[in-house]
Amino acid sequence: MATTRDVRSPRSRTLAALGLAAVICGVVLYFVALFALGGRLPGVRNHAVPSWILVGGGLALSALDVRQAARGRRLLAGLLAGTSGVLALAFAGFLYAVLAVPEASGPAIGSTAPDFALSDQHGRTVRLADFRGRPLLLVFYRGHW
Amino acid sequence: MAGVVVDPVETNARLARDAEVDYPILSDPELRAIDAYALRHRGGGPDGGDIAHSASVLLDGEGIVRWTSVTRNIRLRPTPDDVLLALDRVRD
Repeated sequence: MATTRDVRSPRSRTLAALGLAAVICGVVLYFVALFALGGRLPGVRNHAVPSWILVGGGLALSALDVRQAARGRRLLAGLLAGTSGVLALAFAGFLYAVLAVPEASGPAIGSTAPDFALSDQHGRTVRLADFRGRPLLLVFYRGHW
Repeated sequence: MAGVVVDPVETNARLARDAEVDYPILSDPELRAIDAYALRHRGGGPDGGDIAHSASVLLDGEGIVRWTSVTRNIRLRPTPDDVLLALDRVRD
């Protein structure tokens, strides 16, 4: 019977392997974009859309596999699909929970920027007044490089 | 443009050299400017110390704050286009 042949075929294992590969590719793509390509792919870093397309596709393949594995009781296929799910959850947790930080107000729009006198990388003292007369972008870094 | 960070001058000198940065990276180990700009992240450092929130602040030529971006997630930063758009508005 066709159904019996489907269950015994390696198709579900292939689906699971492809699904896991897609999930891994999605996660790896994000970290390559974040650390190796730096600011050159801010869309990937900020929105992670390409990564989520890959991860979502991988989960869809895994879901198809789970349906077949449930009927065929294929342990390996089930483990592969489960790994995809756990990896996708860990990826989401990292992006949206681990990297979240408390809220900070920052300076109010329209307020006068507080003056400062700080040393630059050459040891020279730099004051806010040194930039007077032209726009200035102040970028606050988390540091510890 | 100028950067502000808690790291010491020596660290910033190495970073500027390695990354070929030509704008000032200002050392604020006592978080005086970071506090003045309401950007202290308590316990945010890898050693549990206080650091700056990841943020961008655009001032006009008179020193008035015209645009800010303070992230709630450290992977989310303004893009160069975001900054250029804000800069265009400041210049208008």
